[in-house]
Amino acid sequence: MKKALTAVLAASMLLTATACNGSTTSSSSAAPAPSGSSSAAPASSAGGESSTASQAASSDPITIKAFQYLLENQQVDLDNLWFYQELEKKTNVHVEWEGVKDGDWTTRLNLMFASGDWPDVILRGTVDIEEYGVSQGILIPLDDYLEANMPNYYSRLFMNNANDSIPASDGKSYYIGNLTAQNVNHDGSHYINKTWLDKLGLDIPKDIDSLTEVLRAFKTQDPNGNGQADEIPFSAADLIHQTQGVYTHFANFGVPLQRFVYACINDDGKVVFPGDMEGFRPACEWLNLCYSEGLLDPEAITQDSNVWGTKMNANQVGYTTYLRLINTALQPEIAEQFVSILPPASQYGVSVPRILEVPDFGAALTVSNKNVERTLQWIDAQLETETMMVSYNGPLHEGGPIEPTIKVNDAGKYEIISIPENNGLYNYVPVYHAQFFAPGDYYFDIYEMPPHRVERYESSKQYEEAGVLEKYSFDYLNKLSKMNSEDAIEVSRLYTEIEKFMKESIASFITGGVTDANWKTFQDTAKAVGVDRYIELYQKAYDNYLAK
Amino acid sequence: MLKKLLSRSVSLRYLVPYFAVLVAVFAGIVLYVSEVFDKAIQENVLEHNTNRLGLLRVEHEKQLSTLLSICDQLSLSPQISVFKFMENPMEAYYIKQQLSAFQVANNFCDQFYITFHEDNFLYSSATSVSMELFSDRFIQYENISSQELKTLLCETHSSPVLLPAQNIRNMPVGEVPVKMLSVIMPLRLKGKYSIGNILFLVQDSTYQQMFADEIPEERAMYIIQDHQILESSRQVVPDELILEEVYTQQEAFVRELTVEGENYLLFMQPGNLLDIRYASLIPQRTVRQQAMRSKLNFGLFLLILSIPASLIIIYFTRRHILSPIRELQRSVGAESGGGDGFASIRTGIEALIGQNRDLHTRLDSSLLARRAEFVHSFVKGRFPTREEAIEAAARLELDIDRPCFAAAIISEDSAHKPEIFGALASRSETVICYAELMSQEKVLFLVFCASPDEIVGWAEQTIGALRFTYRDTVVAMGNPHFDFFEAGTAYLEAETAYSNRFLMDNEFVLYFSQINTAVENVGPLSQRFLDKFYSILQAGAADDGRALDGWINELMETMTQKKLSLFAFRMLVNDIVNALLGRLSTFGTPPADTLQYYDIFNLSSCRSVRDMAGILRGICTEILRGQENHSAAGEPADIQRFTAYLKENCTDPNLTIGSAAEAMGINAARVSVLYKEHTGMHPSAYLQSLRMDKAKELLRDSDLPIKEIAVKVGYFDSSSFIRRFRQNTSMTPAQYRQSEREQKNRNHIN
Repeated sequence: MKKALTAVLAASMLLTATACNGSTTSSSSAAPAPSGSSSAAPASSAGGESSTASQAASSDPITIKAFQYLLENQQVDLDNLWFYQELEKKTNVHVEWEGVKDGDWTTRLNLMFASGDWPDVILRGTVDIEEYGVSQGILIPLDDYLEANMPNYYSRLFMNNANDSIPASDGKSYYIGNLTAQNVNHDGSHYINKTWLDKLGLDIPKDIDSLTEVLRAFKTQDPNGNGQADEIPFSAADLIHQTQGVYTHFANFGVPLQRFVYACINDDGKVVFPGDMEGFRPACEWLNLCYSEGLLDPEAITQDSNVWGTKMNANQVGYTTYLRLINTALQPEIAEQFVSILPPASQYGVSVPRILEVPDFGAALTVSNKNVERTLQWIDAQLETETMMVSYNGPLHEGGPIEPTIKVNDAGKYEIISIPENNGLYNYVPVYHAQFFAPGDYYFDIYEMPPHRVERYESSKQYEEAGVLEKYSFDYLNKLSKMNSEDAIEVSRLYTEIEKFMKESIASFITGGVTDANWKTFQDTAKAVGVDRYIELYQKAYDNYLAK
Repeated sequence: MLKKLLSRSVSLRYLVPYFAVLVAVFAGIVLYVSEVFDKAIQENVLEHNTNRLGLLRVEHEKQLSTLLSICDQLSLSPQISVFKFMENPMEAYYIKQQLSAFQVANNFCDQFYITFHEDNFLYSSATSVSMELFSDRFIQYENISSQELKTLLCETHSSPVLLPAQNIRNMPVGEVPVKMLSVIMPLRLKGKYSIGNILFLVQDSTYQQMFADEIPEERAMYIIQDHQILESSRQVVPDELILEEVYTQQEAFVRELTVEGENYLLFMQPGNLLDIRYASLIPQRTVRQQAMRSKLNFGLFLLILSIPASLIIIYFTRRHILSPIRELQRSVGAESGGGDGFASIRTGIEALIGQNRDLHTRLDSSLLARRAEFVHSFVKGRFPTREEAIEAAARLELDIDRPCFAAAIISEDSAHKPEIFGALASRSETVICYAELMSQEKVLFLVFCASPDEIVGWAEQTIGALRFTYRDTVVAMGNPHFDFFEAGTAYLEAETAYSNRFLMDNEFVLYFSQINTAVENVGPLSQRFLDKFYSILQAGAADDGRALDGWINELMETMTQKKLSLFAFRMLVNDIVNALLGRLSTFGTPPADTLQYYDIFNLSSCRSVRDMAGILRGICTEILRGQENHSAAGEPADIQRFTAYLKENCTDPNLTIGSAAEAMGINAARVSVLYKEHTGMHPSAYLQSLRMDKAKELLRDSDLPIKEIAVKVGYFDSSSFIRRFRQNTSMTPAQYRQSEREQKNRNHIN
């Protein structure tokens, strides 16, 4: 049985390679490979994939020690996972696993580095690349190995600028990325209750003033028709939340405020403090106006998403921001009432924080590793398209440990058939713990996106086309610009202070209003908590980034 | 049935009692232990459950204390002040941060919400929520309406209120209702003034963990307050019954409870906090099962222990009882397979005893028969020498080497009786043996003794013993004899005496010596006839046996004329036939049918001269035939001359076969062979017979001393002559002379 399975897997790999090589016939090929994979993976690389895999399989068996990140609440038996057992047969690489739960990750990781007893490879989780790669030199720079040993990875590495965030401050790549891109460019979209609008005979507001009027109408004209003045024209939750927090509404005033970094790159390419931006005070004033008039949910700064959701589902809310409408906490009949709109613009323009689909940490090798090439080949074998899709979604063919959970549909894309209950997939494949590298263009080519992802993609397209996204992205600062350890520590300390200051200030402005006095206090306090230094450090990092 | 079964096998017969004892011992132990166990387990169960309930109480009170402590800390916290959300939303913003510290520190309650009087909002570490939204939508109790909840949350409470666990649909938990216990505690500023309430939500699963045991048991646990069950691990009996029982007493108790025929043990302990009572209920059945389980385990242990014990018993039974029995069975030849070992051994032994008896009987009868045979042979004179006779007797366990012997005949009816032997028992020096003369209803005894007196003694003693029982017993005794060659005579004497029983008083022993008829001396007579017979033989069968016929006729005539007594007649016949057979035997062993002529018992029954003549003719015919066979080629002239020479010179003491052959000019060795071939006898034997004939003549017809006669017949010394003579005639020369003279005298008298 197992032999047969191995044969099927080997055959499918070979066929995939054939399909990749024969680009002209790939669309009509009976092979399970997606039709677009030829364009996603350069032919030369795909050929290399095949040869490295067979080389690996014919090589002597080796054993590597892996330090693997594990989700806190997920039981995983790595030693007996079907996926890794099959992978071992293909690659002749045996892995001695040391699984570390999320809660212990940072402590155990630091202890491990400090002990000097380093594993061959660190998989998933987060690793301070600057500290352990650049400063301590425990991690191996991989640039020279990638093209030769990781054809699958290398073929996708430069798609959608995926590689931009990977090189460290010294310009070297110390890790293999992990990316599940979906071609989205922002988190929070703006939604308005179209049913209410229609009922009241109102149009979708395009600017702040019309929005304010609409909100006022929602407040007073009983759009939900229950005879009670229980409508909350404008609701938000959790203040700082990136999808439905109050912060998302600063975008309407040209301030791409988000919680990850209290700095942004203005249209001139300069790093600035959001509180210093032109639209920041008007935004606060408008929010205070809404609060004062009872248009804004008075609990917007204190309630959590549960209370927000309860209000949404109670059909009490007219305008809000959220991640998406499909497949969320919202009841379908409520979600149906809402439509995605472009953020109503103020005179200060609109600037929705742009997110970059930047790779996370996938894997890094330590200097203890005596089989660097074989280890990288082993990782790359997991990134081969079908293997990667199986590792995340479960078996594709009959004869696996469970019935196939994915298939290749008529369009030649991988499509999910079923999802085992109670996270059952984790018993057979690594899922979230897997090595995965799929930049947006590649992923859309091979993967039949489920509707909720399509929704976000469409929204992203709409926002991009409308030009409401910030020109650059805060992710340049958050993920791409590299700081040395010293700067990183200072930034981290400043962030804590600034976040507290910003949250309190904004909450205070909204509920108490903005006066010249308290505005002055705000500006002074910002200086006091080190905003200037904070911006300076980011500017420096960004300059370094741009310099490369 | 059991008996039948047991009787089949010895092993079962041993093992069944062994096992019965074993089982009895084990049963005794089990009974004793179970008695002790029952009490111990009962006590153990009581103690265990009391402890378990105490543990639950302690644990729960600890958790309640935590909640009370949160309450107190919040009341005393300088950061917490009464505010109204709508008036001071930033307070709400800050209070969230305050509460998150408490939420993190507490792992008992799932959520908690703080509310101030007249504020109409609730705050948790995660959110703020208006009272209306909270009670209407955010949380939905299974058994409490939205309004009731609102009231409970807004009221001023003097003490904590506990709401029994019930299904609650709660936004942070999800869409699916979850069973939760609610605690509403009053929030007091500085511990005095009621400013609001805190709502704690504790998930049922937290309680179930508290109720859970490492080993699941059929125990139901209850946390009860104010006649309500707040939480329970399971429902075994209706809650009302538990509540009723729990509130019958203030103090802790353990009591039995019967519900629908099922017995339970109810434990109750009052708590120290919030007037909560803790109870647990276990079915008595569980206690019994527990006891039974323990007993079974113990029983199993005993059983396991008994297996080696049994094996040891079986091993030793087999080794020390069954194997020896089987060996015994084998050695006594009993079939080991069939039936009881002992029975078969008994049968085997009995069979052996029977066989032994048979063997002895056979041996005895065989010995008797062989002794009888010996007796017959003895009186028929079949032993050439005394030594051979003694040797033959010795083989039959008879020591007959005694100086004298006699024959006795006893009537058959009493002859076998042990008295005869009993009489001999005291006479170790006397040896007797006997043979039945079946056809004649009498038994022939030979008595060997040291002296004639002993013979008489034996005879007298025997008749005395026999007569005591059998009146008609006849005991006839022959004369004592010293020479075994006189055995035939001895028999005839006894026979004669027995035959005379009609004439004598047979109340006494019939002694031959007392018979008043002189015994004729037939010796010389018979010798005369024999000599003549030999010469006839010497002459050969040229006349076709007419000379022999004439000889027989002459003998018959003489016998008739002489008017011999029967005894004398028999004696004569005995002598002649004996001599003839001796002659016949010179041709080799006489054939059996010839020997019959010389059966002394036949001769005894020979009653007429004609019978006698018939027997003689038979023997003589045989002899002639034998002689003819021997001299079939005719007797050479040399042999005749040699024979004549021997006859002429036989009295010459210097004559030897060698000197005779030399005188005749013949080779001595050759003449011996030739002579033996033609006459059947060695020439030296012939010479000896010539000398004996001469000696007899001189003894009979002269008064010459024997010494002289010895010289005259060619012997240098008289002793060798006497020995030769005796060998030849069975008499010493003196006896011969005497008998011849007596014969002569008788003839003369007659």
